[in-house]
Amino acid sequence: MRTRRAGQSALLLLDAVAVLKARSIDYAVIGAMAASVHGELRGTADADALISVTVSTLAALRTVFKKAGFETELRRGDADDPIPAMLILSDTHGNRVDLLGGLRGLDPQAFSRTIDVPFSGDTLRIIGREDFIAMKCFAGGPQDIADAQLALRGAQEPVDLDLLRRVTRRFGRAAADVLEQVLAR
Amino acid sequence: MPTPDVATIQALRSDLALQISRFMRRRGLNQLAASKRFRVPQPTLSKIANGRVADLSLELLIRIAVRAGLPVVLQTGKVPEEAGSFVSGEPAPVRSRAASGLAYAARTSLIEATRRLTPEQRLAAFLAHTQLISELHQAGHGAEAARVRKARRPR
Repeated sequence: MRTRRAGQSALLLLDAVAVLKARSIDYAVIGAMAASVHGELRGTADADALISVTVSTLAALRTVFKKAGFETELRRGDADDPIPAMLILSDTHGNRVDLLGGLRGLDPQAFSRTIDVPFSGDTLRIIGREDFIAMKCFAGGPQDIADAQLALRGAQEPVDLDLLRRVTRRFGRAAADVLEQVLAR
Repeated sequence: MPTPDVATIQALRSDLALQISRFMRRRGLNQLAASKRFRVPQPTLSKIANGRVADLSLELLIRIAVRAGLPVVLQTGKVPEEAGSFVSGEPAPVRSRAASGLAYAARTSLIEATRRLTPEQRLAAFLAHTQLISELHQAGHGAEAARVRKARRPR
């Protein structure tokens, strides 16, 4: 493990990603790390990634991560939870990585739109800007809306509005409504 | 189970009807006033307001939106779930600027400074930031423990 102390969840994520890569499992970094790339830089206690697996595969992955030295906890979402299951990985320093086993409404192609960003001698796949904004619109909280706006304003390249509308609409009308607000501001 | 093209049309119809219905509410138009303004029978507007749009054509809904002066974007996609109607150019319901011009300018300059960073620099800054926050937490816990020890010491 690369972690040496607390506050290094991002490095723990690199270790988790090595396990995923070895099994050819697609992933996309989301949450505060993705927000730091697309919008506002801010710290957080954990690192989050979406992975493209079924709940049963996620349960099987738990054993793999345990063998690799991670502390693990598998949580399953309620029937109406947009996240079917989550595998929580941690180390002895209290660093933590949340692996989300899917997200209802997410375009499966989102994994092919990730951007590769060099990090600590390795590379991380960060969720693409349009998918990031769409997920923030789906989450819909005040901080999420602020994140979506900053991702729009901070874009160095033009945002693909057609793609943005399509992937947001997949999350439902409420997410599309939030996107309209974000675009109108 | 409708075919993807039929499901897409249905999705567009119900989304567009929703936008027209919202437009009427925002403008304070009842169905009678709207029927005169949009030149459609009142029962049609009742269907729109109640989301019963199965027998209304997409073309009619587009006509109503145009007559209302409601600019919309109709979007189709790879699957029906991606199809929707978006209102463009509608004013946001909340103010777009902070109350303080100074705070707004400070925030904007911060965003501009962040914008100049490469994604790699951003991730490095993210790691440094989280490590600093963690050190701050630990320092806080240490200071609190020292305070408690000092308070327990016999005088």
